[in-house]
Amino acid sequence: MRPLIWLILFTVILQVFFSRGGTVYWQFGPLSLTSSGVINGSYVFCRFVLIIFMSTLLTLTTAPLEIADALESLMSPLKKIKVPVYEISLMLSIALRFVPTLMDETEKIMNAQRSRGVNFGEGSIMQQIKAVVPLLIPLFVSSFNRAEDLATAMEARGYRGGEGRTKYRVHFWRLKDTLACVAFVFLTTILLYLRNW
Amino acid sequence: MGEPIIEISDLSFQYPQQEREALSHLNLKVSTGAWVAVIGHNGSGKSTLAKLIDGLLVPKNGTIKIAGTQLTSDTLWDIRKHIGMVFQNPDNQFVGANVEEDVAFGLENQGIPREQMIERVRTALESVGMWEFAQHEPERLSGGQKQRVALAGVIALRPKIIILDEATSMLDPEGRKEIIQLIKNLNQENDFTVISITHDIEEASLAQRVVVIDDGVLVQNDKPENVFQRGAALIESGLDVPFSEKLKNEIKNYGISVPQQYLTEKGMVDWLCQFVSKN
Amino acid sequence: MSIRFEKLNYVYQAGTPFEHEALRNVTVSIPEGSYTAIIGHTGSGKSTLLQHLNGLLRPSSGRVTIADKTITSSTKNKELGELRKHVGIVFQFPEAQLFEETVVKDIAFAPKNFGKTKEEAEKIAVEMADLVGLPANILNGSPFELSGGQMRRVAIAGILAMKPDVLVLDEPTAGLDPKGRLEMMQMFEKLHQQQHLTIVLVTHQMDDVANYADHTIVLEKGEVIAAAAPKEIFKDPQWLLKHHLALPKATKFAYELQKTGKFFFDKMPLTEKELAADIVDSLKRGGNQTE
Repeated sequence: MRPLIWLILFTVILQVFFSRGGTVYWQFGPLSLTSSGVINGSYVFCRFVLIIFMSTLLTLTTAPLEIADALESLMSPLKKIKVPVYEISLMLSIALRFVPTLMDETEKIMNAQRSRGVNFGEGSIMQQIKAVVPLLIPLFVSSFNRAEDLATAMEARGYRGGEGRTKYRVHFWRLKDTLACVAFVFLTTILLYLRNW
Repeated sequence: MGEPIIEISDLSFQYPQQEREALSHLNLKVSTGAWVAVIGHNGSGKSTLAKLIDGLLVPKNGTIKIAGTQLTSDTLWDIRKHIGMVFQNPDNQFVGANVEEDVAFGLENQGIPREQMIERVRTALESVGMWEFAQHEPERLSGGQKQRVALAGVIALRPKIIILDEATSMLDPEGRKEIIQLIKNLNQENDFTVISITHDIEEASLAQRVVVIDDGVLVQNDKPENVFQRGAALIESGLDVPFSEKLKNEIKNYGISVPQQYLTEKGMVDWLCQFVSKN
Repeated sequence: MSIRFEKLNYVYQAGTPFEHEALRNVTVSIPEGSYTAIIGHTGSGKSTLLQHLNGLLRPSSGRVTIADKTITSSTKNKELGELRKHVGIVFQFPEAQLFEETVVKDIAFAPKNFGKTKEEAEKIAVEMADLVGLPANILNGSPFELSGGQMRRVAIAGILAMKPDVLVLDEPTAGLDPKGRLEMMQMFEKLHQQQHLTIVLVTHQMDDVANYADHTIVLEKGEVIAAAAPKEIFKDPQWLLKHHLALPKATKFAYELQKTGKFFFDKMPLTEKELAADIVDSLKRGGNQTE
């Protein structure tokens, strides 16, 4: 949230002081405060806040894995044009599964390099960039090793692509899904109506 | 011991860009229901052997027969259904997002209907004592628990052969003990043929046969007691010998005549007691 | 250089719902010149304790004194950096930290970071490579083309190149084969004897504790439950059993023998050699002669 605040403030200020049109309240060189500027600024502000709220709400209520599943289901029409939807979703789910493992690994390598006198996040920009190399290379090496191990293990367990696989993790359509859909259609209709009105 | 379930003849393998063969002219038969330990120093070719048996590598020459069927690119996927493998690194073989999904992965690959999967995942997890962790993500498990899940994933597939490729080498002593106990049960109660590739001499001593591989060559294939008798020669080739054997040698160094044959720790205690009573 | 922990507490993620007390009221010292083993189960706080040894972590409360420097919760990062060259930590699977193009460059990395010139650092690197038993012909090759055991040696040489006073080893033999394991442990023993390094060994292998250590710290659930010589620690099998700790193989065997009533040990042997000597002694005297 914090880095976003600056982005929002910056965009809002741009909108407020550089928009033309409407009543002019105040002017200084290229800067001007106009009624449409204020309106545009508030629009931008509201949009940003909404986007952040929505995405926070989504990530708080829905596990990343469920989002990956949803993507697979949304992309499933693409199977017809030979898009490997199943593989993409498996890749996503494995990537998500390895996030904590890699974070752990990063921490371990950082500790090891710190013990060898590296100071992460200190010194000039050049020094900081240099400090990343002893972290990134081992991380890459270990990730490649992991990937190779994982591929072998998957093959040994009979993985040969998405075809003919059944699924253990399935989602069922429930009443609340229907309700949510109806609510969304309703909302969208109202919005469209209000817009044209 | 029944019919051989694995028959390997004249098997050789060479990794690309390596001068030497990783395995050369290896012959081996494994009987159904046996527990075979394969020992050898790091880089001796023992893991290569495991991968060859599962068709994960393609041999340079020689043949492998599993349950009477020769391993070829056509029979590969059918043969793999008979073999379950557990690898060394607990983290790098955990595919699923949580425990039950990981166990289900192999079943999904075989296209087992979901109702059956649910049943088999549950039984498999119960048999390794991990059912209560079914919903856990891997990062909340210890290494030993992850290996138990991997083993459950294998059991769920109901293979004939279980290959453990140094499956206990990255675990702490407790995790190691648990896994070895599980393997013992699986071998005795469920008639799985077990091939365990290991450094752990205590693990090897539980097997019915021990295969020693040194620099890609099968040096010995015998009962554990006969293998361990070679004591010094084993240590020479980078291996370990059981504690009782080491102790026997230390005692022998004092000029005391010790029995030729391999003694277990209990056997050693008995022998020492007899020795004392006699004098 | 001795290290002293006083009333040290460490809490992970303090002030969050995930708060977790990893070390509690730890007061213990690692004597100068000692070979100290730290034992305890996974999750007993060993690795947290380890990270306090060179200031990777700062205590939540209490203090660590390393030589004449004291680390508390308010110590500045800069001072911690200074400290790190005195205590070298070899982490578990240290080969994961290699990244340079050549073996020499990788070993020279730490001394360069601590202010040595490139030439000086590489000179040290060559010496250290020799010290850990790396053949000279691999020094200008890539560390990634070596065998696992050799990569580990490169990583260890990279820590020794800092010329630390204390060498900390976190399960240094994990994943090696028996021969590699023995050679590695003998190498550390040599460093301890010849370079007078203080060694701190974190291990699950009670036989290594018995064979090499002269001081032992036992951790359980973040607390020090014992700190004494290995002989003292392994004296009480009941206590060990209660804390789910194993005995060295020789000691375990000696207890088995003692149970038969035909053998008696004044002092429990810790190693095979001690055990064999005691047994032979008994055999010559004709068994239990305590009456």
